[in-house]
Amino acid sequence: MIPVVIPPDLWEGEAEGAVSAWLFADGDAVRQGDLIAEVMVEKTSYDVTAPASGRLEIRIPAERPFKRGTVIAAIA
Amino acid sequence: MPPSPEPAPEPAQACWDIRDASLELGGVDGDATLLADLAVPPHRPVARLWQAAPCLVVPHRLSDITLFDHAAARSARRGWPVVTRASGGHAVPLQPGILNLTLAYPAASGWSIDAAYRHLVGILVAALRATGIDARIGEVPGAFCPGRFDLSLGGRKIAGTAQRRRPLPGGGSLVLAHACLLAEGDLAPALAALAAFERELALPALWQPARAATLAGALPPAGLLPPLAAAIRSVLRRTRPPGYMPADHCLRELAHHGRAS
Repeated sequence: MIPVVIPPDLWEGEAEGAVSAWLFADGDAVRQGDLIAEVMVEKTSYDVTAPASGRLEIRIPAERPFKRGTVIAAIA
Repeated sequence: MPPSPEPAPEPAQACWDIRDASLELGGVDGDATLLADLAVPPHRPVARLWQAAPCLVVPHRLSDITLFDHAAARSARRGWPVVTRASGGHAVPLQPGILNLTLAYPAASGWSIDAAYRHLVGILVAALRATGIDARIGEVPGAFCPGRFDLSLGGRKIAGTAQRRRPLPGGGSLVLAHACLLAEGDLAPALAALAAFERELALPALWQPARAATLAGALPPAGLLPPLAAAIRSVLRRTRPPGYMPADHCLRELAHHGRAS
Protein backbone atom coordinates (compact mmCIF):
# COMPACT_ATOMS: atom_id res chain seq x y z
CA MET A 1 0.00 0.00 0.00
CA ILE A 2 1.61 3.27 -1.15
CA PRO A 3 0.33 6.38 0.66
CA VAL A 4 -0.54 9.56 -1.25
CA VAL A 5 0.71 12.31 1.04
CA ILE A 6 0.88 16.02 0.45
CA PRO A 7 4.54 17.00 1.11
CA PRO A 8 4.66 18.17 4.74
CA ASP A 9 6.86 21.14 3.77
CA LEU A 10 4.50 22.33 1.02
CA TRP A 11 3.04 24.98 3.28
CA GLU A 12 3.76 26.41 6.71
CA GLY A 13 1.75 26.90 9.85
CA GLU A 14 -1.64 25.52 10.76
CA ALA A 15 -3.52 26.31 7.55
CA GLU A 16 -5.65 23.47 6.22
CA GLY A 17 -5.91 22.29 2.65
CA ALA A 18 -8.75 20.53 0.88
CA VAL A 19 -9.08 18.38 -2.19
CA SER A 20 -11.01 20.56 -4.61
CA ALA A 21 -11.41 17.69 -7.09
CA TRP A 22 -10.63 13.98 -7.29
CA LEU A 23 -9.96 13.17 -10.94
CA PHE A 24 -10.48 9.44 -10.43
CA ALA A 25 -13.10 7.62 -8.39
CA ASP A 26 -12.39 5.45 -5.38
CA GLY A 27 -11.35 2.03 -6.66
CA ASP A 28 -10.23 3.23 -10.10
CA ALA A 29 -7.01 1.94 -11.61
CA VAL A 30 -4.35 4.61 -11.88
CA ARG A 31 -0.86 4.68 -13.35
CA GLN A 32 2.20 6.15 -11.72
CA GLY A 33 2.38 9.82 -12.64
CA ASP A 34 -1.33 10.19 -13.39
CA LEU A 35 -2.81 13.46 -12.19
CA ILE A 36 -5.29 12.15 -9.62
CA ALA A 37 -6.40 15.20 -7.61
CA GLU A 38 -6.18 18.92 -7.19
CA VAL A 39 -5.59 20.28 -3.71
CA MET A 40 -6.33 23.88 -2.75
CA VAL A 41 -4.51 25.58 0.13
CA GLU A 42 -3.67 29.24 0.74
CA LYS A 43 -5.04 30.26 -2.67
CA THR A 44 -2.70 27.73 -4.27
CA SER A 45 -3.75 24.93 -6.56
CA TYR A 46 -1.48 21.89 -6.17
CA ASP A 47 -1.51 18.94 -8.59
CA VAL A 48 -1.39 15.54 -6.90
CA THR A 49 0.07 12.72 -8.97
CA ALA A 50 -0.08 8.98 -8.32
CA PRO A 51 3.18 7.77 -6.70
CA ALA A 52 2.65 4.27 -8.06
CA SER A 53 0.36 2.24 -10.32
CA GLY A 54 -2.54 0.37 -8.78
CA ARG A 55 -6.01 0.88 -7.37
CA LEU A 56 -6.85 4.23 -5.85
CA GLU A 57 -8.25 4.25 -2.31
CA ILE A 58 -9.53 7.69 -1.38
CA ARG A 59 -9.14 8.49 2.33
CA ILE A 60 -10.15 12.18 2.35
CA PRO A 61 -13.22 13.18 0.31
CA ALA A 62 -13.32 16.39 -1.70
CA GLU A 63 -13.94 19.62 0.24
CA ARG A 64 -13.03 18.13 3.64
CA PRO A 65 -10.21 20.18 5.27
CA PHE A 66 -7.01 18.41 6.24
CA LYS A 67 -3.71 19.39 7.82
CA ARG A 68 -0.37 19.15 6.03
CA GLY A 69 1.22 15.73 6.13
CA THR A 70 -2.18 14.00 5.95
CA VAL A 71 -2.47 10.78 3.92
CA ILE A 72 -5.25 11.70 1.51
CA ALA A 73 -5.30 8.42 -0.40
CA ALA A 74 -3.39 5.21 -0.99
CA ILE A 75 -2.49 3.09 -4.00
CA ALA A 76 -3.16 -0.58 -3.43
CA MET B 1 51.04 38.14 -16.37
CA PRO B 2 48.47 36.20 -18.40
CA PRO B 3 45.03 37.84 -18.66
CA SER B 4 42.30 36.46 -16.45
CA PRO B 5 40.09 33.99 -18.28
CA GLU B 6 36.68 35.19 -19.35
CA PRO B 7 34.06 34.27 -16.75
CA ALA B 8 31.85 31.40 -17.81
CA PRO B 9 28.49 32.60 -19.12
CA GLU B 10 25.68 32.19 -16.64
CA PRO B 11 23.18 29.47 -17.41
CA ALA B 12 19.81 30.55 -18.78
CA GLN B 13 18.17 29.51 -15.51
CA ALA B 14 20.12 32.18 -13.59
CA CYS B 15 18.02 35.09 -14.77
CA TRP B 16 14.43 35.86 -15.60
CA ASP B 17 13.09 35.78 -19.14
CA ILE B 18 11.03 38.97 -18.86
CA ARG B 19 8.16 38.90 -21.33
CA ASP B 20 5.54 41.31 -22.61
CA ALA B 21 7.59 44.30 -21.67
CA SER B 22 5.34 46.48 -23.81
CA LEU B 23 2.42 45.80 -21.43
CA GLU B 24 0.13 44.98 -24.30
CA LEU B 25 -3.20 43.39 -23.41
CA GLY B 26 -1.78 39.88 -23.43
CA GLY B 27 -4.64 38.44 -21.42
CA VAL B 28 -5.04 35.49 -19.14
CA ASP B 29 -4.35 32.93 -21.87
CA GLY B 30 -0.64 33.74 -21.81
CA ASP B 31 -0.30 32.11 -18.39
CA ALA B 32 -1.94 28.89 -19.48
CA THR B 33 1.10 27.49 -21.28
CA LEU B 34 3.84 28.76 -18.97
CA LEU B 35 4.08 25.63 -16.81
CA ALA B 36 4.10 23.33 -19.83
CA ASP B 37 6.81 25.47 -21.46
CA LEU B 38 8.81 25.47 -18.24
CA ALA B 39 8.83 21.67 -18.12
CA VAL B 40 10.87 21.64 -21.35
CA PRO B 41 14.62 22.42 -21.39
CA PRO B 42 16.22 24.86 -20.80
CA HIS B 43 13.64 25.39 -17.98
CA ARG B 44 14.29 29.12 -18.05
CA PRO B 45 12.25 31.01 -15.46
CA VAL B 46 9.76 33.46 -16.93
CA ALA B 47 8.47 36.73 -15.54
CA ARG B 48 5.46 38.00 -17.42
CA LEU B 49 4.07 41.51 -17.05
CA TRP B 50 0.64 41.90 -18.57
CA GLN B 51 -2.73 43.54 -18.60
CA ALA B 52 -6.08 42.25 -19.81
CA ALA B 53 -9.21 43.61 -21.44
CA PRO B 54 -12.15 43.71 -19.00
CA CYS B 55 -13.00 40.21 -17.79
CA LEU B 56 -13.66 38.18 -14.69
CA VAL B 57 -11.07 35.50 -13.94
CA VAL B 58 -12.22 32.59 -11.83
CA PRO B 59 -10.56 29.43 -10.50
CA HIS B 60 -11.73 26.61 -12.71
CA ARG B 61 -13.37 24.78 -9.76
CA LEU B 62 -16.13 27.43 -9.91
CA SER B 63 -17.10 26.13 -13.35
CA ASP B 64 -18.41 23.01 -11.59
CA ILE B 65 -21.21 25.04 -10.00
CA THR B 66 -24.54 24.31 -11.69
CA LEU B 67 -25.35 27.99 -12.24
CA PHE B 68 -21.94 28.77 -13.75
CA ASP B 69 -22.79 28.67 -17.47
CA HIS B 70 -25.85 30.86 -16.99
CA ALA B 71 -23.99 33.37 -14.79
CA ALA B 72 -21.02 33.47 -17.18
CA ALA B 73 -23.28 34.12 -20.17
CA ARG B 74 -25.03 37.00 -18.37
CA SER B 75 -21.67 38.45 -17.31
CA ALA B 76 -20.44 38.32 -20.91
CA ARG B 77 -23.53 40.19 -22.07
CA ARG B 78 -22.73 42.88 -19.50
CA GLY B 79 -19.27 43.23 -21.08
CA TRP B 80 -17.37 41.11 -18.59
CA PRO B 81 -16.56 37.73 -20.14
CA VAL B 82 -15.59 35.03 -17.67
CA VAL B 83 -12.26 33.23 -18.03
CA THR B 84 -11.10 30.30 -15.93
CA ARG B 85 -7.60 30.05 -14.49
CA ALA B 86 -5.54 27.23 -12.98
CA SER B 87 -4.41 28.98 -9.78
CA GLY B 88 -6.39 29.06 -6.55
CA GLY B 89 -8.41 31.72 -4.77
CA HIS B 90 -11.68 33.38 -5.74
CA ALA B 91 -13.06 35.29 -8.72
CA VAL B 92 -11.35 38.60 -9.52
CA PRO B 93 -11.89 41.32 -12.14
CA LEU B 94 -9.18 42.31 -14.57
CA GLN B 95 -9.10 45.38 -16.80
CA PRO B 96 -6.54 47.80 -18.26
CA GLY B 97 -4.81 49.52 -15.36
CA ILE B 98 -4.57 46.32 -13.32
CA LEU B 99 -0.95 45.24 -13.74
CA ASN B 100 -0.34 41.49 -13.53
CA LEU B 101 2.98 39.86 -12.70
CA THR B 102 3.27 36.12 -13.31
CA LEU B 103 6.40 34.23 -12.31
CA ALA B 104 6.97 30.69 -13.60
CA TYR B 105 10.02 28.77 -12.39
CA PRO B 106 11.26 25.40 -11.15
CA ALA B 107 11.82 25.18 -7.41
CA ALA B 108 13.59 22.65 -5.19
CA SER B 109 11.91 20.67 -2.43
CA GLY B 110 11.42 22.87 0.59
CA TRP B 111 10.43 25.95 -1.41
CA SER B 112 7.10 26.24 0.32
CA ILE B 113 3.95 27.99 -0.82
CA ASP B 114 4.64 30.66 1.79
CA ALA B 115 8.22 31.16 0.58
CA ALA B 116 6.99 31.60 -3.00
CA TYR B 117 4.42 34.17 -1.88
CA ARG B 118 7.01 36.05 0.17
CA HIS B 119 9.29 36.08 -2.87
CA LEU B 120 6.52 37.31 -5.19
CA VAL B 121 5.31 40.12 -2.94
CA GLY B 122 8.93 40.95 -2.08
CA ILE B 123 9.47 41.88 -5.72
CA LEU B 124 6.37 44.07 -5.71
CA VAL B 125 7.18 45.70 -2.37
CA ALA B 126 10.71 46.51 -3.57
CA ALA B 127 9.37 47.95 -6.84
CA LEU B 128 6.68 49.99 -5.08
CA ARG B 129 9.21 51.33 -2.59
CA ALA B 130 11.35 52.47 -5.53
CA THR B 131 8.39 54.58 -6.69
CA GLY B 132 7.82 56.00 -3.21
CA ILE B 133 4.98 53.68 -2.15
CA ASP B 134 5.28 51.79 1.14
CA ALA B 135 2.87 48.84 0.88
CA ARG B 136 1.95 46.48 3.71
CA ILE B 137 1.81 42.69 3.35
CA GLY B 138 -1.19 40.93 4.89
CA GLU B 139 -4.86 40.08 4.52
CA VAL B 140 -7.26 43.01 4.29
CA PRO B 141 -10.46 42.13 6.18
CA GLY B 142 -13.49 42.49 3.94
CA ALA B 143 -11.60 42.76 0.65
CA PHE B 144 -12.46 40.62 -2.38
CA CYS B 145 -10.43 37.42 -2.87
CA PRO B 146 -8.61 37.79 0.47
CA GLY B 147 -5.24 36.22 1.18
CA ARG B 148 -2.41 36.41 3.73
CA PHE B 149 -0.08 37.73 1.06
CA ASP B 150 -2.18 40.60 -0.23
CA LEU B 151 -0.68 44.09 -0.39
CA SER B 152 -2.46 47.09 1.07
CA LEU B 153 -2.07 50.83 1.29
CA GLY B 154 -3.95 52.84 3.86
CA GLY B 155 -5.83 49.74 4.94
CA ARG B 156 -7.19 49.03 1.46
CA LYS B 157 -6.17 46.15 -0.79
CA ILE B 158 -4.00 47.08 -3.73
CA ALA B 159 -2.73 43.65 -4.80
CA GLY B 160 -3.73 40.00 -4.54
CA THR B 161 -1.80 36.80 -5.14
CA ALA B 162 -2.36 33.16 -6.09
CA GLN B 163 -0.26 30.15 -7.14
CA ARG B 164 -0.36 26.92 -9.02
CA ARG B 165 2.09 24.10 -8.34
CA ARG B 166 2.95 21.01 -10.31
CA PRO B 167 5.28 18.47 -8.63
CA LEU B 168 8.34 17.24 -10.51
CA PRO B 169 9.02 13.48 -10.67
CA GLY B 170 12.44 13.81 -9.06
CA GLY B 171 11.32 16.18 -6.30
CA GLY B 172 10.59 19.88 -6.18
CA SER B 173 7.92 21.52 -8.26
CA LEU B 174 7.09 23.90 -11.06
CA VAL B 175 5.69 27.09 -9.60
CA LEU B 176 3.38 29.62 -11.21
CA ALA B 177 2.97 32.59 -8.90
CA HIS B 178 0.66 35.43 -9.90
CA ALA B 179 -0.03 38.86 -8.50
CA CYS B 180 -2.46 41.47 -9.73
CA LEU B 181 -1.69 45.03 -8.74
CA LEU B 182 -4.56 47.51 -8.77
CA ALA B 183 -2.55 50.33 -10.28
CA GLU B 184 -5.03 52.71 -11.90
CA GLY B 185 -8.48 52.99 -13.47
CA ASP B 186 -12.00 52.98 -12.07
CA LEU B 187 -12.55 49.91 -9.91
CA ALA B 188 -16.27 50.52 -9.34
CA PRO B 189 -17.59 48.96 -12.58
CA ALA B 190 -15.19 46.02 -12.22
CA LEU B 191 -16.25 45.29 -8.66
CA ALA B 192 -19.92 45.72 -9.58
CA ALA B 193 -19.49 43.14 -12.35
CA LEU B 194 -17.79 40.77 -9.91
CA ALA B 195 -20.56 41.21 -7.34
CA ALA B 196 -23.29 40.59 -9.94
CA PHE B 197 -21.56 37.42 -11.16
CA GLU B 198 -21.16 36.04 -7.63
CA ARG B 199 -24.84 36.81 -6.84
CA GLU B 200 -25.88 34.84 -9.90
CA LEU B 201 -23.76 31.94 -8.67
CA ALA B 202 -25.63 32.17 -5.34
CA LEU B 203 -22.33 32.74 -3.56
CA PRO B 204 -22.44 34.63 -0.24
CA ALA B 205 -21.50 38.33 -0.32
CA LEU B 206 -18.34 38.30 1.80
CA TRP B 207 -16.54 41.43 0.68
CA GLN B 208 -17.08 45.17 0.40
CA PRO B 209 -15.93 47.28 -2.57
CA ALA B 210 -14.53 49.97 -0.27
CA ARG B 211 -11.88 47.58 1.05
CA ALA B 212 -9.92 47.76 -2.22
CA ALA B 213 -8.38 50.72 -4.02
CA THR B 214 -6.03 51.53 -6.85
CA LEU B 215 -2.67 53.11 -6.26
CA ALA B 216 -3.83 56.04 -8.37
CA GLY B 217 -6.77 56.45 -5.99
CA ALA B 218 -4.40 56.89 -3.07
CA LEU B 219 -1.79 59.03 -4.74
CA PRO B 220 -2.07 62.14 -6.93
CA PRO B 221 0.07 61.25 -10.02
CA ALA B 222 -1.53 59.74 -13.10
CA GLY B 223 0.22 57.38 -15.51
CA LEU B 224 1.50 54.98 -12.85
CA LEU B 225 1.76 51.91 -15.04
CA PRO B 226 4.97 52.72 -16.97
CA PRO B 227 7.11 53.62 -13.92
CA LEU B 228 5.64 50.71 -11.92
CA ALA B 229 6.38 48.23 -14.69
CA ALA B 230 9.88 49.67 -15.08
CA ALA B 231 10.49 49.36 -11.32
CA ILE B 232 9.31 45.71 -11.36
CA ARG B 233 11.57 44.92 -14.31
CA SER B 234 14.46 46.57 -12.50
CA VAL B 235 13.95 44.38 -9.43
CA LEU B 236 13.64 41.26 -11.61
CA ARG B 237 16.90 42.06 -13.41
CA ARG B 238 18.74 42.54 -10.11
CA THR B 239 17.50 39.31 -8.49
CA ARG B 240 17.74 35.66 -9.39
CA PRO B 241 14.90 33.17 -9.77
CA PRO B 242 14.35 31.00 -6.68
CA GLY B 243 15.25 27.78 -8.47
CA TYR B 244 18.80 29.02 -9.00
CA MET B 245 19.43 30.02 -5.41
CA PRO B 246 18.99 28.42 -2.03
CA ALA B 247 15.58 29.48 -0.75
CA ASP B 248 16.77 31.57 2.20
CA HIS B 249 19.42 33.31 0.11
CA CYS B 250 16.79 34.36 -2.43
CA LEU B 251 14.59 35.93 0.24
CA ARG B 252 17.55 37.71 1.86
CA GLU B 253 18.53 39.11 -1.55
CA LEU B 254 15.06 40.54 -2.07
CA ALA B 255 15.00 42.05 1.40
CA HIS B 256 18.35 43.72 0.65
CA HIS B 257 17.05 45.20 -2.61
CA GLY B 258 13.92 46.39 -0.85
CA ARG B 259 15.97 48.24 1.76
CA ALA B 260 18.41 49.61 -0.82
CA SER B 261 15.73 50.98 -3.16
